Amino acid sequence: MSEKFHHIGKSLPRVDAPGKVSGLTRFITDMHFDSMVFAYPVVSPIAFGALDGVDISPARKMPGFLGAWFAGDIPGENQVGVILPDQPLFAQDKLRFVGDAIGIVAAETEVDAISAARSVKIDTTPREPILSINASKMATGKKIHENNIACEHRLERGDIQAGFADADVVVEADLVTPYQEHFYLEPQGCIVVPQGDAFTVYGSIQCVFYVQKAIAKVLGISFSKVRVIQTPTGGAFGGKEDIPSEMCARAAVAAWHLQRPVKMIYRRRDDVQWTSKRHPFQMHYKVGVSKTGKLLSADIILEENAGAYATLSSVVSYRATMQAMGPYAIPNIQVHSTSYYTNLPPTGAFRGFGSPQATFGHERMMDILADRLGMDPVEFRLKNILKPGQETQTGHALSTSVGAEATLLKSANAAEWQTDARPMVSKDGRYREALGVSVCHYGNCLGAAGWSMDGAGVKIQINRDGSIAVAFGLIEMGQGALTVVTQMTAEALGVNAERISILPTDTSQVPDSGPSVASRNIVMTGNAIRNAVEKLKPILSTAAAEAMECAPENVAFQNDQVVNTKSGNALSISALCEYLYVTNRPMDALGWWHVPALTYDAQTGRGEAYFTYSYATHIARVQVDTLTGQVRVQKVWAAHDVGKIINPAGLAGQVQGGVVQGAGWAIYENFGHDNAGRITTPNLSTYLLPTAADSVDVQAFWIEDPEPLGPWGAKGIGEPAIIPTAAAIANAVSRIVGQPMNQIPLTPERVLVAFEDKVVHE
Amino acid sequence: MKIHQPYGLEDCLTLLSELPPDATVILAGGTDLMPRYEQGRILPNNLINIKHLTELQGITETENGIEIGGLTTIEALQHSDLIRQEYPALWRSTAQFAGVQIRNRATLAGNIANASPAGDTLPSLYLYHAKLKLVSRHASRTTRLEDFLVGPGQTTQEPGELIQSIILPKVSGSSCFYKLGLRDAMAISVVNYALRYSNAEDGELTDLEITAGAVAPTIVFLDALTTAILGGETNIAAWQALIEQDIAPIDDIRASADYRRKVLGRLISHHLQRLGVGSHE
Amino acid sequence: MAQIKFKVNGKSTSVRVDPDTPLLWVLRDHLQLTGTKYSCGMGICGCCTVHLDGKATRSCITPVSAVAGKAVTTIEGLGKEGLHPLQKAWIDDDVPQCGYCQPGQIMTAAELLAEHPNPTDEEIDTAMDGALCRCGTYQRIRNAIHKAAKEL
Repeated sequence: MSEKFHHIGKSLPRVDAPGKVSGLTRFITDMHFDSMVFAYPVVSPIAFGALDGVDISPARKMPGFLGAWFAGDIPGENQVGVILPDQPLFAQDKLRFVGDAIGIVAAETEVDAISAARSVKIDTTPREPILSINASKMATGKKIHENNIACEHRLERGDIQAGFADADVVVEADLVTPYQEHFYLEPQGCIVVPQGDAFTVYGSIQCVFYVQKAIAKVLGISFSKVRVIQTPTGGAFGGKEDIPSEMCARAAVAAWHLQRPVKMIYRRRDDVQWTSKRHPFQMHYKVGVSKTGKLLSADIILEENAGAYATLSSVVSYRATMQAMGPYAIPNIQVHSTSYYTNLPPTGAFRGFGSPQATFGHERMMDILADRLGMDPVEFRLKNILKPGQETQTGHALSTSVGAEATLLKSANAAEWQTDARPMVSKDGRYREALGVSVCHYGNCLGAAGWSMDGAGVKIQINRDGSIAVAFGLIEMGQGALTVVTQMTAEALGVNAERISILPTDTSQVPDSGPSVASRNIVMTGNAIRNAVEKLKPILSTAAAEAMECAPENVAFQNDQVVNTKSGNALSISALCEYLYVTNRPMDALGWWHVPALTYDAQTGRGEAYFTYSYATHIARVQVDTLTGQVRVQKVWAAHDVGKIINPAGLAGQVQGGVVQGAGWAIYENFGHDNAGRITTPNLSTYLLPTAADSVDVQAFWIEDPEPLGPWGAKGIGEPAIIPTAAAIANAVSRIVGQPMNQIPLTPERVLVAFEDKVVHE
Repeated sequence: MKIHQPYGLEDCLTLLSELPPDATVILAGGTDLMPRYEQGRILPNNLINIKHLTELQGITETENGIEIGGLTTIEALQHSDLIRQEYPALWRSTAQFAGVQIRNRATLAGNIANASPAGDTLPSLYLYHAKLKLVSRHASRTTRLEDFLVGPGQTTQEPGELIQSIILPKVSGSSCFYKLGLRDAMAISVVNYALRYSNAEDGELTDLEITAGAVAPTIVFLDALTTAILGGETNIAAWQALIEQDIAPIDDIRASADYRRKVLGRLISHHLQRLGVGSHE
Repeated sequence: MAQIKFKVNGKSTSVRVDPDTPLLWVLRDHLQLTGTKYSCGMGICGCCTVHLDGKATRSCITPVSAVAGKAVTTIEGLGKEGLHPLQKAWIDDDVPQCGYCQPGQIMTAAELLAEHPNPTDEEIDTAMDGALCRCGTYQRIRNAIHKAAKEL
């Protein structure tokens, strides 16, 4: 593109950095209101069973105790299920996991509220809990809900039996991926402030409109009586997508009864025990290829552990199903996905949303197949990689912005991957190294399953002093949204970034813009900004022409000025804004954009599952200590097709962070629970996150293959950053130990056992 | 709850003798105790904060070795040239002990009194045959560390007693410490061990001792292995069974008993081979 | 309850609290210095790091009684005149993402630079490996420390 940009593609420094480095950014835990009290939930101590009764007399004796409320005290509907109506706000009869909320207690101080909530006596009749996908599947006569299946998805294209019949090599494998705990360093928190029959909610929230809906339903009031304002969010990664709805609604019940502001911040171990995680998957892949290395047929079974409630399982597994075979052309494919209820915390959104799991599946398979064919893993991928004009696994012919092949070539070149020969492997000695490759695609925005909520808005308001305030419906959670929204607004208006302030996300500012998920901020908000500016520009141009006494078509916005292109005369933006005001012109506009209609058949899973995809390749150089089985990632070459770069520094930061988080999932983060459904890794001494010493040297590369529907050609990046990492690491480790590593995390124990098996077999 | 801040050792021992032992806890660095707030465990009625008792801090050279004040921090040991040169295994264990901020507060006596089977300083202290000087209001006694630690979280500390110092005799030969965690930094040991050996002038091994942690309720000496090796057992294939005679690991969140047995054997065999001991026959 | 006197960011202060209260909550709830954050609550993540007589210290596991008579510096008091060079480097290098851990990261790095004005990569890793960042900003933290070291 020859178009010259002033803001797009430049590294505007993060607009929220000064507050974040000085300690002045006020997170929810730092906020306070007059007459504020504290709340804490009363939760199930058992994983499965009946709730027989509660005794709050011990809590009544606690200092500062103000009240306790249960299912019978909910003014509206006792229901907070995000997609399926399967989750009560307060459990009434059936308890389904350790941490299932039963009620809420309020007290004058935080410590008193926590102590009072923990002191409530809960009578239960426990049953043996169901703690795995297989146990849930096999359970007869023991149902967590009406049945144990939370949701299913299917995709059928071509004729898989004919495909397998034509194949020269057919390989089957079972693959397993674990939980991942978000461990955002800022725990979940909110404050609900009542004002008569209306409520203002502040919180660390990814989806303000979800929270608005949940509170309205639970309190039995209209949406317009609930205003939700997002506070700076100290990490979310998907973990603050659905949980704030139930959390804020519980606090709102206390606020409704007390008519005082109610604050609730989860303690760390409770946050880990009670809130969502990445879905564990068990997968069975059967894939057939020709001896020349062409993918012919795939039969894929995905099974997910949904936990006690369905929450977002249906959309997580939709994405995994639609992307199950990766960015490759394959004529015959069948995918069947089933999410099973278990008596563990509900699993939900986590950066990648089913994609890291599916990518682990297809990318391990690609390596296993290459191995079986005696082909180089990169060469084998290149034979099948999706190219413009080819159809995705759902039968969607993509004509533009298909950068998959370019990302693979870019990272393979950078990593000096040798084609015609096996990638570098050091075969001897205690420490052995290899490269591993992994490619992914990621459907942008919500896709066909979420199309009805895939619109988003932005409000641009011009002030008479020349400053510009922007409200948007999505949020900043660390990914850099405030900065790119500033840049995109500056670009669209032709003004300096310094003029622009981004307001806290607030349900009262813009219409329901859906959730801040699916890497959709740049695409949705960017397009909405362009739409708002289209509405503002005629007003601005007419006013400028009037002020400069010229024809509107001779007015141009350049370098923070309005210029009469004929005379060369210029007017400052500030002067124009003052002129707008004194001539009583409207000074704001609402912009809106929605994803175009998608043709998709839910019965067969065929059609336009998503309107476009982002692509990425990660190549990891990994070292294994063959004495102990310890795995270290030495370097990752990450190439991403982002359509068009908006902010290079922010982009690189996302990719570096995504790789570290992906390496954590692949190696260290070994989430556990006991036979009673209690989490055995509720803190940082048992749940190991990557530290500075485990950080990965990431070298990032960009492919800019513009997406016509993306603003300035851009596509989403937040999630693609993490998706291919784990599979790249597992592929490298498999190569080193000479055994397929089809399960993560790659703990020293798991790696050493595999390595010793290999030695025995030799 | 009441917190006590004794002015000196004597004051502290008086407090310890007067307060009910089952409702009193000594707070040194606080790195193990304070997190219990977060765990929601109820703290005892009396907390005696001894962190500021300077007479219990510091390393002194004695005729027969060194004496380390109980409240000496792990970071102070890490900065001691004396420890680095004379007791390299202990020095190494302090370098791998949690992170620097924890090392700044955590004390050697605290790490001992905590009696964790995975305590990082313990294999080295066993290796150097450490003794503890314990004081109470009217008495003092000296005990071998291995007699003091009796199980996970269990010691022979008497009510009213305080660990005043840790005594290390002079040692000969070379020594070192190795820790295997699930991550490079800030991780609890899956297994750890300390090893000391001496060679004759011709290079022949004349002395060998190995201690291992996180593989039994307390630290253990791998006597079966070291006795056999000093007795001429050079066949590496025989070593694993000898190591397993002295250990009794368990499964926990971090690793299985099997892995602990296996990886300890692999690490020690590899280590000894690098010292020129053992062969594959 | 006890009256405990200490200095915070150069000013003398006195609070009446349970002496076993972690310093973190005294700073946040009694002194309204909310830049110091709660996260893991057990001294592992480093979000609560302050300086105690110049030493980087985990305030969530430090009883306030242990700081009596001492000087505490929090993120709010780190820069003597405006921002500390580390804070400037953090902004220049686009370090923060969610930002929640960054006050603790910066306080940890500030002690490192006070002791090692020109730290090596290894010294940085040793000092910083107990300060966790879930956004994974480690690569940039290391670069920003080198950059600030040049400024100091």
